Amino acid sequence: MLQVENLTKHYPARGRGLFTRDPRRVRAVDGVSFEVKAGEVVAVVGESGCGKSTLGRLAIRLLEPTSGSIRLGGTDITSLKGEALREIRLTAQIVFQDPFGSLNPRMTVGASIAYPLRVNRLFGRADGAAIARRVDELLERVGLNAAHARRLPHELSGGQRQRVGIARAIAVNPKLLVLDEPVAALDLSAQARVLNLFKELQREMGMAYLFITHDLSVAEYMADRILVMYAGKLVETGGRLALFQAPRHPYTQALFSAAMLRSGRASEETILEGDPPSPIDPLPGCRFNTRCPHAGEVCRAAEPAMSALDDGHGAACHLLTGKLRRSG
Amino acid sequence: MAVTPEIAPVERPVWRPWALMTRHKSIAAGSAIVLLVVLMALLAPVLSPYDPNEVHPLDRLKPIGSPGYLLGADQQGRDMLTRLMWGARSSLAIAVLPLSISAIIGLALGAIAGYLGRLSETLIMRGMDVVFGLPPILLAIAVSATLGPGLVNLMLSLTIVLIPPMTRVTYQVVVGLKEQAFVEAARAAGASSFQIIFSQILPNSLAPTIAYAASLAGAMVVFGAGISFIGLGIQPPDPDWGRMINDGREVLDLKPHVSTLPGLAIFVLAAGFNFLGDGVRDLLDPRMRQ
Repeated sequence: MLQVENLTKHYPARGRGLFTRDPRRVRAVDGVSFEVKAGEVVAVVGESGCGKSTLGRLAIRLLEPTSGSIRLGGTDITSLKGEALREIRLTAQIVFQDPFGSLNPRMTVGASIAYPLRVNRLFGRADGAAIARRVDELLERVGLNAAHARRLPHELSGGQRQRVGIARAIAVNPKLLVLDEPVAALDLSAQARVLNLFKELQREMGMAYLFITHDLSVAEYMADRILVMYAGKLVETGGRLALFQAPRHPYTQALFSAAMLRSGRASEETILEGDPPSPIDPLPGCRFNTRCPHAGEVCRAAEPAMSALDDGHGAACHLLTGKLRRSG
Repeated sequence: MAVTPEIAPVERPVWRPWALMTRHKSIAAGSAIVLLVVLMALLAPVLSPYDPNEVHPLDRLKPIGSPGYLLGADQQGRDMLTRLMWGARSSLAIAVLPLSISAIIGLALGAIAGYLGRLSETLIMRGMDVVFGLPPILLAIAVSATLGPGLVNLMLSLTIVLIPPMTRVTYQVVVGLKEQAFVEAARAAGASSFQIIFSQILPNSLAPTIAYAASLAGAMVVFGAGISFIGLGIQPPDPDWGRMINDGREVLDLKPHVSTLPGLAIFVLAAGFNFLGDGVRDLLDPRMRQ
């Protein structure tokens, strides 16, 4: 469905001025490769600022990649422009984190949901009745009802607004949905209901999800596979069970220890000291070496490559290549 | 699961002009004054006792309250009340037309510069900076002097003066809107830049631009009168308030009513527009809504 190779997104460290040239770059996403198969739910987890939202937007070309390649449904979409770029919106859609900001305050709920149908001319030129029927159907599909179509966003609750965002995203029957922290802004009970809605929709429509979240319990509930990101890099990928039961990268181990402690699968929590490194021109070596309990000389000198473990499980750490011995 | 959350009954905003007036007193006061002046201007041919340019050499400088001249007469014996009524026409045109035209142009330019960015932004906004660098009075005088005097050319020069601030206000609103998630959502839905500007950007930048334009109407009355006062706007003998103040200048110490009455008229109309403009701004600014 989606194949991403060596994807990189660099931003200028400072805004480009008329007289200033700052050659430094923020490496938001740095050489990330992964695949999402049809109908698969892949979660991207990591701390805030690790580049996971940027990755999601790059994957469906809401942002321009600096380098790398993206294939969607077998087509290379890395450098599509204009009309051709807009055509991929029928295949890949996105649900945003902020259910307040992602709806136009002056458009009714019905108009917001009809918007992708209209701009893509999915129903003849002026077939208002057919569009209205489709909107009602979509509203009911996401647990709202036809009466909501005439409401304005500010008349709805956060959970209802997020359902509108979901209805808008599935309106064109996409094959891939990027979910960018879709429940992070909701209270717990709304979170659970919206997550169940995602599960239902996925079962019925067979969509693939790229589910971006910082919440490991959400990832555990939703994902078939998990990608762990740290400072713009992928540090570990694998099936949900493999990652939760036997995480191999020290960062993943630390990240998951809290969640596992809660569910009694670990005896103590690893607390990481310090902050992630600055994404502006990072030091050579492993990005995690400043906080890693096992870091040695090799970690400051060379960047570890992703080593394949069993069954699609992989991690990028020198401990796994034999260049570093576990300390303590 | 398909839970259907209950829909709370929501009070929909209903267009009730009377409630609007009583709740927003400045709108009520402003529209009363402006409406009065508009009626005066429209009904001038019916209501005014004389022709505005009709001279009565024997009745020169009649004081206020003279028989036949309710508000007196000027140096040529023209009826002041008649000239004030006819003069309201140009003052209203000057207040409303340049603002409306420049608001439309400013919305278009600001939306293009703000949303498309890049070259269009550099060209439009730096161009506006150049015009902005000139004092507006000087610019209006220069344009009027180049084009020649007259109501149409005066309005044209005011429009040119107003385009940069209108563009800048819209531009700033649009730059803020562009970062909003719903604009990214429209892009994700597959909309083109053109479609996004029309469906997402313009509807949301209309209110701040209109509010800004409304707040300037009072200043435009004064500004336009000033240009006519120095002789670059409405030409004699046509009645205009700014022109009339100039006419009374020579007799200001002896017969102050010739200049004072049009001055008062300018003041009242400008105040009326300001009340209305403030009210409109409060109404359109979501932060001021209860």
